[in-house]
Amino acid sequence: MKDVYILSVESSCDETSIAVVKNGHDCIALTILTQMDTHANYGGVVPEIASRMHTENITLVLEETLKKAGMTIDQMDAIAVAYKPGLMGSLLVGIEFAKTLAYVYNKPLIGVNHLIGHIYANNIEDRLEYPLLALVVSGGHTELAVMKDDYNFELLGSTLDDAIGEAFDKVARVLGYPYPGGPNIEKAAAKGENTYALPKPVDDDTYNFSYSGLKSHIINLVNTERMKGHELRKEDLACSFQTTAIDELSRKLDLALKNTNIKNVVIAGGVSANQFLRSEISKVCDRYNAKLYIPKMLYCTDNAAMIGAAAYPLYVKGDFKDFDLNAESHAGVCD
Amino acid sequence: MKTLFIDTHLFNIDIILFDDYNVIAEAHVVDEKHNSKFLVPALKKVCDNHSYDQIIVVNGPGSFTGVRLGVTIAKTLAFTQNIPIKSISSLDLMYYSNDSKAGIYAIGDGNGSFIGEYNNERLIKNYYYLSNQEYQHFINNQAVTTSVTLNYECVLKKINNVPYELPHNINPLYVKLIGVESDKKS
Repeated sequence: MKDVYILSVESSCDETSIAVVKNGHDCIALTILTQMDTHANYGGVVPEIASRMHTENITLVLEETLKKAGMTIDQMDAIAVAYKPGLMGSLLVGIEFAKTLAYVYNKPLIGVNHLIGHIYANNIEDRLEYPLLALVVSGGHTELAVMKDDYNFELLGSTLDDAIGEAFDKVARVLGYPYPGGPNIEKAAAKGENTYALPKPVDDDTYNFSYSGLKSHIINLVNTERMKGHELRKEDLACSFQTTAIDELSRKLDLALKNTNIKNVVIAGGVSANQFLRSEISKVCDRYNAKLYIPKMLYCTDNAAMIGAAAYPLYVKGDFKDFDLNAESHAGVCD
Repeated sequence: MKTLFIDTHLFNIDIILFDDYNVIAEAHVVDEKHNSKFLVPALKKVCDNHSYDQIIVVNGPGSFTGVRLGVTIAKTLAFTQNIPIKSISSLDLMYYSNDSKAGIYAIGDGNGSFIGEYNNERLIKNYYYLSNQEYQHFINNQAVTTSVTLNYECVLKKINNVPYELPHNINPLYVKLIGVESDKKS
């Protein structure tokens, strides 16, 4: 089969990104324009501002990517775009852009689930082996699924309330760390110790997660300590929170490895950039002699290369979208 | 000269292809708030089997999403095919269609109205936005034009003198502040 080049677009939240990916594995060119500094002024992502910035920047990001690739759109085999889940206004900019390219250049249009994109980030410069256990950890999702083959998922469990990344952001805010909360909690935790006794979120034999109770417990604890005039050991609390939150992932993954006897594990999503998470999950995998795929740091957070990687199996299957493709704000890996 | 005209500034889609001032293809979608499903299909209906020499896009003010999507496809078409592009505001569109008659023009978006004040062939102050309540008070004191039959020949003739812009620089005119912006101001 001849080489397949996919031009892929990601605009589901606050990164405008376009990539050229060859055969689903090789990232030929990638541009990521992050809006993080702008949203930091407001303490979190402002959806309307995110959409505006996508429209302002998208043709610039395209120009930059094509220049890096040394290729033209004519040379592409397909145009791929993340169409779910995410912020509606943001997704729509990428979708209309991708549809316009697909129409003008007469290329097939591929719609990619952003979460599945995070899983396929592990297929860049690597080869996923199936079956595998996929642990998706991001600002909007916490899911554990069996992936039997390309695009063949069985959901084991997901969060009953908040996503893990959301809990990191909210706890960061309560402790007074700036946006983005995740990396700042991680930095603080590295200087602290696990001294606060926090409740285990879902201490049972299901594969479900819960972060809302843990978050509320910390908010109450912070308020009580402040009222009593006690000194709050912020770094210790960050460390205790991070340890408890990630222990929840480790326990559920451990259970799944034990019950399914699957020997491959993938971690996917923005929270997979957390180094403590990486080392803890890696310990669990070692216990079961399972192979662990972790995306390179560049592919952990939102980027279009992962969309191109996830689009490739759909290209091979001929699974294409029409020009009436619309955005969907909510979706899990199985939707 | 063939012109591709794209207007999605409220909840309708109007895509029209002109050969000078004559319509040679057009697509209209009425009152569909989920513009996205219909936009590129409408573009395809108009542009299949036709080429064009310039693009004119209505860049607002109006519905944030409506304007954004029209501008996104227009700048993408212009950039990728290297076709000259210009933008025109939704209020200029009314004003030019009305034979550039001096006065106050308004476009409502449901929650309020965008206002343009014109005199002597030009806009005399920046566009602004009034809430429905403010607008009710406003129209007690002056005449406001809110409805004009669009006259594309007048519009195209007027916009002939407007210079082309770089596709990267074509962006929506929002005018109305969003929550976090008004919070910062107050």
